Amino acid sequence: MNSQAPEPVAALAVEGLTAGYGGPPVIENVSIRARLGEITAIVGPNGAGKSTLLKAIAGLIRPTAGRVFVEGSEVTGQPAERLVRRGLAYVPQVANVFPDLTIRENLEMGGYSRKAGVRERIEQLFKLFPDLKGSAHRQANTLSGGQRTMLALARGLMVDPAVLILDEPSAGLAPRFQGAIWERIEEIRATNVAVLVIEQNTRETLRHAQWAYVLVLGQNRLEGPGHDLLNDDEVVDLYVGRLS
Amino acid sequence: MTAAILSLSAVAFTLEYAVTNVANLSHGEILTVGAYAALVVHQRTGSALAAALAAAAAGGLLALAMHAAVVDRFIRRGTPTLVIFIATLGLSFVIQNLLVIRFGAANVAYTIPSGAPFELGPFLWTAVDLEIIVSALAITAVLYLIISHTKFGKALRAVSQNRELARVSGINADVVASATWFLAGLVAGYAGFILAESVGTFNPSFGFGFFLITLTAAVAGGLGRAFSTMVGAIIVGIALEFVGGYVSAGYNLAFAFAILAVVILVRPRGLFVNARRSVFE
Repeated sequence: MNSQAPEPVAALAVEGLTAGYGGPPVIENVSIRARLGEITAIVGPNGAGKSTLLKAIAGLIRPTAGRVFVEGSEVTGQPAERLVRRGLAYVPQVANVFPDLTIRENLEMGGYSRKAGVRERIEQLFKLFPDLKGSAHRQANTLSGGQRTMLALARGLMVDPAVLILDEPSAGLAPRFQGAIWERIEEIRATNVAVLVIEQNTRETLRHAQWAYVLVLGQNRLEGPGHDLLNDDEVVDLYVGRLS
Repeated sequence: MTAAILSLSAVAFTLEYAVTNVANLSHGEILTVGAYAALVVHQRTGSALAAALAAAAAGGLLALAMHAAVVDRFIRRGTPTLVIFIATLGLSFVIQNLLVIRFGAANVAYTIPSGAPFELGPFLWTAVDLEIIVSALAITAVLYLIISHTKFGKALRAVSQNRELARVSGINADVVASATWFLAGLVAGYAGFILAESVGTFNPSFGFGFFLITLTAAVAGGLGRAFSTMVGAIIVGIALEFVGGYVSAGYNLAFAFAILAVVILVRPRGLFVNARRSVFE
């Protein structure tokens, strides 16, 4: 294991990660990489361990084996609150805003670990998410589903992360909001962030992803450029669906 | 007056709950230990101010210890809340009996010369009454400022609403929870001092009796929400004073539980939860 970090250093490198919730491991020996300025997707059937993988990377559960690197330095086993400071932001699928805090307070909490520039960063993010600006003093629980997801993304971006991890950002949203969310994700990617995303809408996700991994039963199965996987018969049959 | 003391005790209890999701059944012992600390320091120094500070400090340290030694340990292991809840009940008995060993089970008198009563508005006041009310208002105002405006206060609310999201936002939830318990302990310890002062006598189970009323007030207002809890405490406190005045103070506890039963039937999440949003949350 001495010859790690081949080629240019990936923003996020996960090597042989094994993790679970105390019982048998949910993910086993999973390896992925995410590069700056790219969208990296993880797809796979329900129960493949996608969310567990993200939680293990974000430091919410401790991996039992394997290593995690952020921008070349090892962060394996560090708790979530420390990983944020290393440039790794995580946006959970549900319960991803503080319901009884205002929008501004939610963003302030997102920037909790920043030494300075919280106010300026909030103003920058209001430009990216203009909807939020008008309701900065409203409580998050008064927002619609789409606005709430925007707030969740903005909260994650408060730390200027190198890696932004998104757990099903468009789940449960109306199709027109899903489009808006993907537009924002593309804009975020364009600011040289490594976006790592899992999604239930596999077709849409593969369309946006520069690189994608297929996870099955907690293990790596396939990987490749999103477009190639979209044309891969096995992937289409199993996870995208021609008919079903 | 009951209302003022009750609101301090209930707010402290609700803060402990807010950051850990554990109803601390040994909360009453923080008041009791505060009262004993005040008594001891008062006898040594003769200063009521020193006694008040000692009560707060003892309460703060005790709450910090409860969190570190029992509550947080269980939370880290992922123990179900009900188990932790029972553990705090055990802790309550342990502390009560340690106090019996050290101070005896009998009532001790704690009277502070309160001076001649004077009239203010429609009521008759003593200096102690005034001290209790003014200090309770001041502490409430300070708590309000801390919780609603400081970075720590916002982190406290963030941890209370979603511990996991708070952590991925970079908030060290363990540190915030410890600090919150310490703060709650300061307030509860001081509440023990003014309660002892106003009753004039206490024993090792003194705080536990008051805790049952505290629980009523906190649940009635809305557990885990500081401002709702305070309003609930004031209503329950005033109701109890009326019962004490017109019927008998002996029925206080029965009446408090009657209020609790009605609230749980009608508004199980608390009187002021989901009502118009309070400034606190």
